[in-house]
Amino acid sequence: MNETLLLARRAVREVWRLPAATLPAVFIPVFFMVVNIGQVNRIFPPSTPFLQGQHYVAFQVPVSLVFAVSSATSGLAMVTDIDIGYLDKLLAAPIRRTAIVWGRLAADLVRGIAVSTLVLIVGFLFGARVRSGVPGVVLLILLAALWGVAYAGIAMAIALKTKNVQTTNASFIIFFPLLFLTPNFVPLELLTGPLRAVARLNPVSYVITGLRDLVLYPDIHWGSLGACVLTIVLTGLVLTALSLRALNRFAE
Amino acid sequence: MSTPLDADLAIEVRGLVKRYRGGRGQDDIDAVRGIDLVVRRGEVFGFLGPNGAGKTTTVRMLCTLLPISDGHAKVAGVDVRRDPAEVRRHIGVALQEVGLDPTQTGRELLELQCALYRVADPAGRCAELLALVGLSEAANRTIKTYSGGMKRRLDLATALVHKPQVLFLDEPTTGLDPASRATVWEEVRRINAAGTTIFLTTQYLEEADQLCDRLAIIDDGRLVAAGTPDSLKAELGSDVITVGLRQDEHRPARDALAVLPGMDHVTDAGEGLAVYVRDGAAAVADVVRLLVDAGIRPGTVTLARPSLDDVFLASTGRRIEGGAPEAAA
Repeated sequence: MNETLLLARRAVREVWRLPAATLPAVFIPVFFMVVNIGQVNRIFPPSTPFLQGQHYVAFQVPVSLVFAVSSATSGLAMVTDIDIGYLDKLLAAPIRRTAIVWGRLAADLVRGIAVSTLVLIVGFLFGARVRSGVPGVVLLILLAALWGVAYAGIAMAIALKTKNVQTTNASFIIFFPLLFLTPNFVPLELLTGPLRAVARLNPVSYVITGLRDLVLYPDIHWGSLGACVLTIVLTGLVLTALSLRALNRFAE
Repeated sequence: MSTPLDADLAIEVRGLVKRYRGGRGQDDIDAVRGIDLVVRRGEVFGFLGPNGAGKTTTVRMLCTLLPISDGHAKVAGVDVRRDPAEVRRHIGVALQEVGLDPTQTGRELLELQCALYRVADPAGRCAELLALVGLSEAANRTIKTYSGGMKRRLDLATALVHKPQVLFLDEPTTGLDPASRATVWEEVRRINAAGTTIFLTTQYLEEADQLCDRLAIIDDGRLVAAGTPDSLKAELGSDVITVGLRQDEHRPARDALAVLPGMDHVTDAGEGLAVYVRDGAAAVADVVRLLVDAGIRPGTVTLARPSLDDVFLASTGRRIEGGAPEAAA
């Protein structure tokens, strides 16, 4: 078996055996979703134009999906590997060192799919519907998971650079402004001028909008979907490159 | 002693240096300062020294885990700087920190290691190694439930999956109880008997004495002595009488002992003096008499054949701190 897949299998096993490391990543976004719905459901009834006849929960599901998969879990697992000396064992083995990062990212994809499915189920229970049907559901889960993979690079880079649990954990805080400086409560057009300008520059806006269009509209909006995919690819390329560079520097 | 041919050498090191850049306004730090050594194939070679002497840094350079700042090193005939990936194919590594993922079972971890090293029959090799280190029954338990000794043995097994030519063991028994230490020593002997060259770092004198065919003593990044344990001790050529004294008695005691017949030399030895003499048994009474005549009453007087600690003391003027494990196995 390919060494990336071998290391991914090990990482998935680790996720499965340490549910406490993943469950908060599901609980917090679901909690936010429920609280948000409770607060604004009456302000934004299904007749609100931007909801396309759905309950407000449908508008919030993509935000919760992105929130749930953007974790520092892989970075924290990397710090643990450094602490216990397992990373040294891998670095002393005759494998491509990039497989160490790719293995973690592959496990992130599996975790992302599981977490996204759970969040989507909760959204369904609260009345959300994916108007683009089964292909939309598949795309939602897959794109959300891929965003998680793309974003995981930042925590891994910080982990390899600092070798410190607290700092790596704190990297999660970076995501809060990224998540909230977006059209997460209302569409971009309804944001105030300065916030709208910031949201336009924020890559997470394009991910949320792309996913949201899959939930709200019956047909695929190729423009927003393309922007979403492009954002995920570019973010993934940049952050994965950062983590690979950090691994090379760590080894040196 | 004849110079061994290259083909006989498992490790060859010339002028090895590890330099860490100092911070802003600080000088660079040389953790290893120009080491030369050779390890022959099939040997158990010990690298003895106190904490912070440069043992682990040297091992990490030879295992390709740290870049070499200067000098040359060959492991299993492969240049470490030029082809680190090839070196990794021929070495097994068990570092001071047991690098084991606590969420995996012993079997899963070994099977993963076999697969990463592309071992032909991973299941068979895994079963063989588990039996070798006495962990067959615990193989399906997660590693977090293992004792320190079991973890160390499993770590040793993970370093052996591909039958490496050279096995690096960095302080393999530090922190182990005497029984676990004896088990690890037994494993090391067995692995070596099967033809694997072993490079072992230790701060335990007895470990070096018991296990190693040859050893080098490192202090402050420099080699201070090298040879077989017996030859190193024989080089001292003397028995050692250690006399317990107060600090203010050292100087007058040295003066009093200057006329001791058969004396080789005297060094400070912590809370007393180490007196190196040709015939210790005959000299004990004279040592006590000379001290008492000078008005000094020694607290303790012990006579011993030279130990590796005496070799270290003679080479560096200090004893190895923590050089004795809590009990000999």
